Amino acid sequence: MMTTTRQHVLLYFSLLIALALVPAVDSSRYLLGQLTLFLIWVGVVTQWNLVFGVAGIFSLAQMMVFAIGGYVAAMLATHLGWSMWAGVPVAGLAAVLASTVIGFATLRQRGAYVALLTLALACAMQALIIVDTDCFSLDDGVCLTLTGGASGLSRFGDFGFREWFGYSYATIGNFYLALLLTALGSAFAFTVINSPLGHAFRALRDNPVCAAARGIDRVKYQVMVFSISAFFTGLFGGFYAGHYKAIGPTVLDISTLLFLLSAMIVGGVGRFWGPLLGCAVLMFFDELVKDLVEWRMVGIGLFTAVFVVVCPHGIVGLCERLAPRTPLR
Amino acid sequence: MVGSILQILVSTLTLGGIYAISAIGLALLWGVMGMLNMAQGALMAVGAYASVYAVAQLGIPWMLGLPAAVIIGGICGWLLFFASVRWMLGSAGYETNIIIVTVGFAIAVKSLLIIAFSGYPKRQPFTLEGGFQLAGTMVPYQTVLIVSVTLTLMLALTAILYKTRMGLAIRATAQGRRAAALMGVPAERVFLQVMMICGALAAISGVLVSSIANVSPALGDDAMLKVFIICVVAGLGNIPGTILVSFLLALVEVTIQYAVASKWGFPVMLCAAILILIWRPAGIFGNERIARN
Amino acid sequence: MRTETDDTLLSCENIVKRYGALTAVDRLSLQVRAGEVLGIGGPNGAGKTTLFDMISGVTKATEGRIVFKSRDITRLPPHKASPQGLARTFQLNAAFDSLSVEENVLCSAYFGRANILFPQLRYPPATREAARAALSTTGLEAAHDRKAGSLTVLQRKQLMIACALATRPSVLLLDEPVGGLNVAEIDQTIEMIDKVRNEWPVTIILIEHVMRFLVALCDRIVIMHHGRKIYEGPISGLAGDRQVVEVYLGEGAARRLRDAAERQACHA
Repeated sequence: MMTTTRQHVLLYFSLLIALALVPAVDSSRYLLGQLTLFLIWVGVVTQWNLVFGVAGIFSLAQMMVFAIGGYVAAMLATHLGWSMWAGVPVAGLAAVLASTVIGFATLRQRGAYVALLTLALACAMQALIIVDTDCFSLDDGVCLTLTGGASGLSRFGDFGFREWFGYSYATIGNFYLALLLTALGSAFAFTVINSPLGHAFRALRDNPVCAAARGIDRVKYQVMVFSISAFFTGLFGGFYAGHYKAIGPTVLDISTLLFLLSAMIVGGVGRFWGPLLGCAVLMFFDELVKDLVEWRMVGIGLFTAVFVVVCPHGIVGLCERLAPRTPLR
Repeated sequence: MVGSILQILVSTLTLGGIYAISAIGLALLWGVMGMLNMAQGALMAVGAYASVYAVAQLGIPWMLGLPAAVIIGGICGWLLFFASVRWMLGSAGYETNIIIVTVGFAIAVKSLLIIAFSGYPKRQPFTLEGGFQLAGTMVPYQTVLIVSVTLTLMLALTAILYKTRMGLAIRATAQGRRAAALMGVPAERVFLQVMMICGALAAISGVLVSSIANVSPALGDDAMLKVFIICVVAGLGNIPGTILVSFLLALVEVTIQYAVASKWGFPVMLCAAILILIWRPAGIFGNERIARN
Repeated sequence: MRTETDDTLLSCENIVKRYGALTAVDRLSLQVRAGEVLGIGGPNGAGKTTLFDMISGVTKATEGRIVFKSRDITRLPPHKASPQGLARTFQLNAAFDSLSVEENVLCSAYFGRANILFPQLRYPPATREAARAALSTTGLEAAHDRKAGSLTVLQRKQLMIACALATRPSVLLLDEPVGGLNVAEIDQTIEMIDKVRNEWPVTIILIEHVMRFLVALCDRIVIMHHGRKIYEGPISGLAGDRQVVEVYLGEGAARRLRDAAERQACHA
């Protein structure tokens, strides 16, 4: 058991290292751009998996936490002129703070109520950003609202790879930064899952009454899983803002949230490989049907629905059924 | 003053009625089979287009647009049941998986609507022009139409749920799926009936929503979110509570739009819902479940 | 009135639990001495599990006081009972199904032993040692890497006891430890509880219907009915108590119990 877990971790990180070699083979902006986005989504879903899969809390606040990270980095850059390198870590911390508050808000809810409360929070944040039209600061006589309102914030700095290494290296630089963040985020998540803390989360998911009888405090650990999963989520939010040099209320669209939820479920909820495989399959399928133009969304919708009906435990569950000897966790 | 209060009241009745119809469908689905139906918005759009198509292409009178929507909505409910819930109910992860499955179908259906009817907004034929004066306030006939459709539906639903064998079976299943099945209630037939009722309700709601805005594939999206919030604020599965909260939240939304600014209606409604949920974790009329170990 | 002595470890003083109009436990008093095995019997709905729920903090007593190691624990939240030294098992086979047997026991040993402010990244050696000992006593070593969800009924019962033991409790509350087991498995469990008694410094309170099990293990027995205590004393007196025979045992069981007690007296 121990050795198989180690083998899976090794295989996982070998895959990430293999990804690091991609720019040597093909450094087209499109491919690297898509891979960077893929890494961002893998990172976000990996952290979400801690709350949703490991701790079993039906939270839909993940993109809200991500957006808070992105907005904090973007607002610091826009209004205070901070560099992205300083803004992104602060974004991570701000996300932790916000997520802790969300964790407290969901404490007394169960199941679907958690889902709809967190969804309402995310929608409220989006709605409040959209109605924000008051000037917060002036930039050369141009009115800047605090959050950028419906059109979002843009025209702030990026990570500076362009200035340092030249135009063509901006994409590569961002790609490697995303890869580094994803590797760190995954390592963090896997450490947590296999530590006493992870066992406490899973114990509370499996049987809350029994967990309490074994000394596990539900309030404390439920809030904690919200806090710790938020740090890397916030970092990815900040990175997203720096990468696209823009952030807007569209990151809070339900469609993005549902895409990531599909990725988690298609991959396998609560499973080691779930986030990576789920994002890979959905993004790859999206590339496949791109040429179908108007039929593209029909294909994506039907594929996801049929896949989940046929394989309710996702790709990982499917693999376990086909080859029961290799437990993927 | 009286005029503006009347104005708010009229708008609340219209909006609340539309919300209530859709919310009852969702509440039934949750109560009977623990299903959060994210395809509700798409079903609303299907209903609205069914009415448009039937009136424009088949040349039936505009009044019959609504029955056409009901039939198509019911068929969609039937299809959705056999394409998803039928295979999933009771399996591990059902609660979350059903969300993704219904979202998947919703995306596909909305895209198909765009392909079939183009994304351009269309006019809903199920409308009455004009209105009458009441204490100095203009009350559109459309409002009267919507309120009467809503009232009729609620009475019909109450009759179905409380006066028929089918209603008895539905209520029994909602109270305890296993127990009802053991008592000989044909669970699968009940599920199918509920899905079809929900499809029909969504379709009617879609026709009514589009009659005060216009017909487009995304018409159900905003309404669906509001309706979900109504359902949880009321307490999932509680039908009388759901109806009450539909009108309550409509009142909040309309009042804010009228008194402050149109753009604040939705955010304030969301914040109110969040506070209510934090105060009452299982909704206003819901009970926290006590389980035995 | 109070029979509390120096070696009283746990005492319930006139505790009451009401659910609306229903009184599940009605002014019950109970003293448990260090080192003894106390059996609690009684018909279904007598309030036995509710008593455990109150002692372990799962529900709060409506009235009365529960004192453990001279400390009032009546209002203790459930997750604080275990670090105090009170470990319980459940009537249903409660375990953390997605964790392995070893992880179940480790996690219980770690969080159930002391209040953890912030968990470490690995289990400390003392925790591992306690978990290993608990697995050994309950005979689950061979199954240590199985998922708890895949265990047999007997193994799940053993796992539950192992988890409770791993917290190194001073009082172990066992709720129907042999409910649903067959005769051979019951004998196996009797042997195991004997082993627990010999190897661990623990006081045991157990709820059980199987008389043979109570006879084999208990020093003292309490019978509850409608939330009240109707009998307290040695097992041997049970068959002679009219009320106990009437509401719980029945004549046949009383006769068998008398025979068993005689046989045991001959062996001794």
